[in-house]
Amino acid sequence: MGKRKGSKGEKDGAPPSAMSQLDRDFAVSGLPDYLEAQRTRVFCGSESNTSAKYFGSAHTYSTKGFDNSQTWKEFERGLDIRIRRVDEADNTMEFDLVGVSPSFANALRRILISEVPTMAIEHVFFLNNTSTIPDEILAHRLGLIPIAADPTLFKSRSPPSQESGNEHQEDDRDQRNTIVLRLQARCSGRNPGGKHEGNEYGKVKSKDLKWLPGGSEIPEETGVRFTVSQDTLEEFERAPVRPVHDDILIAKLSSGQEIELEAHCTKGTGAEHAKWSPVATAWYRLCPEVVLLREVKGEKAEELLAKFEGLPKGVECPFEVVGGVARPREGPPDLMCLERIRALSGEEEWKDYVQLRKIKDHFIFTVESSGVLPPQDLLCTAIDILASKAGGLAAKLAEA
Amino acid sequence: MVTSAEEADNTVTFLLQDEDHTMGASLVDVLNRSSNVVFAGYTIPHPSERKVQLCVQTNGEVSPKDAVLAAAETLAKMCDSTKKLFRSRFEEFGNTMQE
Repeated sequence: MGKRKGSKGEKDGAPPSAMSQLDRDFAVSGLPDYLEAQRTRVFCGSESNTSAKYFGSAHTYSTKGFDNSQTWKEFERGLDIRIRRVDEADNTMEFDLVGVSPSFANALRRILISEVPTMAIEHVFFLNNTSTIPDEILAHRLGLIPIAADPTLFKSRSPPSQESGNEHQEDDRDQRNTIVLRLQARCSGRNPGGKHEGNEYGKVKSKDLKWLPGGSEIPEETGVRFTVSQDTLEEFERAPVRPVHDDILIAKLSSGQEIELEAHCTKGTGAEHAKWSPVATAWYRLCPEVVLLREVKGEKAEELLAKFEGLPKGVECPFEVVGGVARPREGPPDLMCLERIRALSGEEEWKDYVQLRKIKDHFIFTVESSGVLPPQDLLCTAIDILASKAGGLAAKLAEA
Repeated sequence: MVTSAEEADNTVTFLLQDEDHTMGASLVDVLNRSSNVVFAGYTIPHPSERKVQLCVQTNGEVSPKDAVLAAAETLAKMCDSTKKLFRSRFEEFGNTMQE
């Protein structure tokens, strides 16, 4: 099915001036056009996508005399990364990852979500809680608050052992693996359950969590004993431990109600609980590409532009007309008009002209950090983790 | 981490302890792009056990063990070049933003 589709587009062919990146690629590879199209592109039809398969075997095209194998050198030559956007206020980064397989991109995404370690509240010791929120619910809410602390400065807990079942072993908890936070809030407002003037009245927010660099104030109960105060470390002087956001609502108190607790953070990964996940989310999409299969000029070109009238503000029409001839604009089309292009490519009048494709090895990757670490650091850590997994396996195999 | 479960001709099934799709899919992918590998695939026999069975068949030029070893090394090198490139591109991006 994909075969017919691919060959149709290419045989009818556009003149050299309207050559797409794909056509230029064809000249390089030794594969017939329709196979090269299937190898590198997903075709987005108006009803369904075709040629969505990934051809990742060295022998896929051996009957055509085409070697589809890839060495590390070839990978490095084909690899390209371009940063699109870094938004420090939003802790978001968007970049293009070109020339990798879906499983590689997916491995990075999976590691970002579940295997990059962070610090999060794990144990909560209640001294007093007369609020309407039960202890366990409050403890859970606290756990989800992102804590800005460099996880590399802390040690992980020992992994669960056979003897202890699935429970973590209780290590000695001290300044190397624990952050102690204290929360003390009391509502002294005269309007029980009523008006809140300012933040003192009733609203307990994440900024009320105070860092105790000297460790637990109730070591007998918590079993956490610091031998050295954490703020003697130079790293903490530069960046004291605090919640990433100051204005996360933890609880609402009525007059006379009180919360007093000590919260202990430990190092963990998102695999165990999402509270340790360093990203709000991390995702990728394939880079879209719009092509004109035949020359569109004169009135028809104007007609094509008219199809894209009324796009939201700031969204560019995916086509432009130069010298009376329509051509796709440079770069991938805006997300907001992709469905319009897709619908157009299914219309009787336009289906031989307009085609929407996706480039199979071009990923537009977005990393949305929770604010614990900047997204670029998260990505580098994720790559390191994948490398160490691979390196560890190689070392074990070399031994065996 | 690794135990060989079955060996016949040039086919070996490896058992990777404490791994999941992250390594399974990435390794299979690198293995498949190698010209000496005839077949590579993985399965996770039970979703609640962190175990991956990796089956590799080679054409006899190299042993399956060496093929996986090479693939793991390749994957590690791929990570290094990705990180290096990302670092330099990120720096460039920071410089252009300042201008």
